[in-house]
Amino acid sequence: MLSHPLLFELATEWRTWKGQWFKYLILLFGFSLLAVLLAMGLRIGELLFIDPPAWVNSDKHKNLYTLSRYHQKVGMHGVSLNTIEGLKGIPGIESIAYIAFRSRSIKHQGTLFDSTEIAYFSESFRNQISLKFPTKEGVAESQLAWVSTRFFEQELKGNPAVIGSTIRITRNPVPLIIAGVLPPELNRLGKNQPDIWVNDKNLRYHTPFVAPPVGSNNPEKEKILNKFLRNAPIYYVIFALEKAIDPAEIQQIVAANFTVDSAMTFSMPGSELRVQQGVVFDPETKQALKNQWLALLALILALSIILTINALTLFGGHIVMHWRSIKTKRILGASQKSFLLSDLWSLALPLIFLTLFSYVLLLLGEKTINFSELYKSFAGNTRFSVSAPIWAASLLLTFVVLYLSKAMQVLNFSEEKLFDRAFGNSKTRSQLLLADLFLVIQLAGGFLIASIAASMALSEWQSQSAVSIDRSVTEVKISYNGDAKIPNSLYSGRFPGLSSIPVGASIPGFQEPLTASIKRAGTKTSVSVNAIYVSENYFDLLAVNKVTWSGSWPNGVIVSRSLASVLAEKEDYSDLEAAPVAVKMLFEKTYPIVGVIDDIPHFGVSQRGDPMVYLPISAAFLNNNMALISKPEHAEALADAANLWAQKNLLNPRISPIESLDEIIRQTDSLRLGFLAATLAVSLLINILIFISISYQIKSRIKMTEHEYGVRMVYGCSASHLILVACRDCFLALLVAVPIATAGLWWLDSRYAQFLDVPLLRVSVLPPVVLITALLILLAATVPIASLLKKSLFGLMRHT
Amino acid sequence: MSHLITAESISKVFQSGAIETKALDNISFNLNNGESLAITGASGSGKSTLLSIIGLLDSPTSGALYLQGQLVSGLSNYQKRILRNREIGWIFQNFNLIGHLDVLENITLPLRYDPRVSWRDYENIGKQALTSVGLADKATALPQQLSGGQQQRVAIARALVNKPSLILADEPTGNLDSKTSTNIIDLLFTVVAQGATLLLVTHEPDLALRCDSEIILNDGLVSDAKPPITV
Repeated sequence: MLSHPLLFELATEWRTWKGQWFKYLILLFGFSLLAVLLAMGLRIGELLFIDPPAWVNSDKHKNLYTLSRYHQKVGMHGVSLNTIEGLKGIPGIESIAYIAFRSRSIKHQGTLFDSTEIAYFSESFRNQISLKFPTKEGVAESQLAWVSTRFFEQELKGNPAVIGSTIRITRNPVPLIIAGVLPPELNRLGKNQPDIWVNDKNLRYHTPFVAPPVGSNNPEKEKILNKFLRNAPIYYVIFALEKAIDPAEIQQIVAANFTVDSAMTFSMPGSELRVQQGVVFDPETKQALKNQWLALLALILALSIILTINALTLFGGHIVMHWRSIKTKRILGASQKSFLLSDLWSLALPLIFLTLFSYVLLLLGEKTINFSELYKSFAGNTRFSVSAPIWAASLLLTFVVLYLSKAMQVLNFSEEKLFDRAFGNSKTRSQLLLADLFLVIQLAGGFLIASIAASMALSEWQSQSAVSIDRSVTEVKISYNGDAKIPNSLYSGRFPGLSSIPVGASIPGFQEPLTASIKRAGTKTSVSVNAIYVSENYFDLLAVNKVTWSGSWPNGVIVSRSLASVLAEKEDYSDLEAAPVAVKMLFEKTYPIVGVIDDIPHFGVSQRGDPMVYLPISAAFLNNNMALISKPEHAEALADAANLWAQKNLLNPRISPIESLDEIIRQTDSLRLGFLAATLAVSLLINILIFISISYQIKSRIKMTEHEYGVRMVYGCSASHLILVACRDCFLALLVAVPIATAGLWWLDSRYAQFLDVPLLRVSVLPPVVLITALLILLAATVPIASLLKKSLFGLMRHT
Repeated sequence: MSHLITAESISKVFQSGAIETKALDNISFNLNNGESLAITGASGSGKSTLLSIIGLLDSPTSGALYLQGQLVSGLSNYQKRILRNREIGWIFQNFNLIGHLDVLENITLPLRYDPRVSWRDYENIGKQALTSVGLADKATALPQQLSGGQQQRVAIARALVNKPSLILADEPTGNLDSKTSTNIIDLLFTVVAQGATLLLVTHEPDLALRCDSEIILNDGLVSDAKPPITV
């Protein structure tokens, strides 16, 4: 016999759940998920609002700010040194540091590295960061270079001999000595992934002017160079203040002090100065992560409500099944304290499960976040990991909720009268109301989340099926320095040296259209659109559906259906045929519209409705990259031919790997698809939990009123009628839950659908979800009724 | 001889909405230590209600009940629980054994709620009680693996395990055949002979005759008492 109280409670708990362990395990799994989501939510919150990036020296400077410019389309970009000067008017400024990122080719020991990202940092920048830069005695900092861990490992093959060797940056007359390898934390700063770090004095070699080496006596040239470098908006600024000041106030001071040297305007219309608290190199990513964090908090809240109700009903049902034991124990002298202790001991084993499950889930969660592009963009190389105290705290909190759910039900039952002929049935009106309220909440919650998941899945399916292009088409991108002369044969879809293969061309690539504005002749309002130059056969290769097609292409422009809807006055777009439109990019030019095509998902499936205009490639100018498309079977041959042609005809060409349009679109859609997958998984888990809880609730209600069922059976009630009797409460609860959930869906959809970029309510999914819920309720009642039918009627009647 | 139980004008009214049902009406009696008392009467006469009040499962609507000289209505729930655990041994018609606990675990249950008993002693004390009812070999059996008579023996062992001064038995042989009933009754009276006080509810006249005294209830009133009641 197990005498020790802990072992005794563990063993008896195990026995009372005999045959029900799966349900209990699912509940524990749900609580483990809750603990992990809570821990991850806390950690992400810490990253978003408390922790600076791993490379920032936050000990030295407590009040850090970032100064940059921001443009709706381009995003965050740099400010000029003149703007930085304006910061000096801020009271209590401790330090100002800045960094600029530029893509250049470098040469190291005879090897050319194209498109190397170089970070040019101010001397003060090193003080702002907590990581040490190796130095070389006797060599000026401007003559040193540091390589990132990634570049060192991937491009320089981790060869330690490179330290002390020299590299040469294109147009930089002075070779730089590699002083060392920087820690991995500096592999990524926001979206920028610098390969080489150099002092900002080297920027002088990367202006449109030829710069003499530092120290050469050429005052005229130095003047022009300095003027350019003062006005070029390329610097991201981190500054520290003695005391915290409202960023808006700082913004006003900087804007008031903003100056531009004459003839040096690099303004970008729509761009504005922005001061942000903390070190923020990628505000869009931070905002996206914040949105996901808020969605995670909402999920945690929803999950904790559902799980608590679930636990209450599961434990409540369990107690109903064992009310005789509880009564007997109380008669024998069991106190509330002994019930509470017994509950605590009995949760020792579930706690082990909870810990194990949550540990595994935590590892998976950490891995998923570390793989996520969004997180990488935000935190760079800093691994996402939840500290043991945060995990333990989340686990403890979850355990407390689980324990209280169990203890509350026992306490609730241990208040029942010890002598009552109707014991076990003697639920008060408030208890019954509470049970029904729980049922309504569970059904409404399950219905709501299932409807959201179904609406999202349906929309995604419809979006995917609405895309009519051939996604197997592949793309190879070529980027180069300067402007290129596009071979005439490409206009009509033939690449030099590959006359047998149909090749399409675009400037720029599939995913990178340019911005333009378009205006119909005779109208005043222009529409902001995306534009791309394409070859004659581009649409044929993509197999895109042509809505209207005059046959005059490429003597005009093609517009997407969504743009046509904006421009046209007639529903069939007939008024657009040959209608002249003014397309403004750098210059304005008028073209006739010669066709309307279905929307192509350049920015992913959900954004395929962004208006597009397609111009003939022969009209392209000032290009430094192009993309070639072909059928997948010709991709290799095209890539080889493109490489050969590019080496011969282009300056410093770089060829991208072959990618199918499907891959490109999927990458763009990955965030949304991931969100959909996560919603489906969570919806499935929550609905399994709710189904288990409701089935257990029905089972315990049947158990509580077995005698009533016995009486009905004696008088000839059929099995189907018994099932309906068992479902009666659930169906009534469903009738109440559906309107509540629909109202909730409508509210969520109107408030968050645009924000999350997914529809949350599709009316067409509601009837099937109601039907499936009703069928699941029937199923939940059928099983206990079937086992009731196997019992002897005599036994049922005797068991009062 | 001191009174173990003194009941003075005990009444009990059950209320269901506007309907009042008087289950007990002005019941008074004494029971001394070491004596046995049978409460008999027809179904619905209030026997089990009276037993539940004496066993501290319920409270009277009016009247006073003294246990070991203590006025029960003045006791807290905590004190009542302690009394129930240490001074009262309950035996039910339907045994009330816990199905997922084995015989020994069922018997030692009252010990688990008595902090004076160390968990290391549960097994020994439980086995002694089990031996005293002749079921030493059934320690690890589950209740449903035993016959009705054996289950009632286990219930008696559980009632005795804390050595209570009062044993309350609610129709202890109601679910048993006559041969088994005789054995159980013999066992109960052996316990009484060892000094315990027994108060039992029964329908069976033979069983009532074996008790020192008898109260016959009719519609909540004492219709007869043998010997006549003295309060």
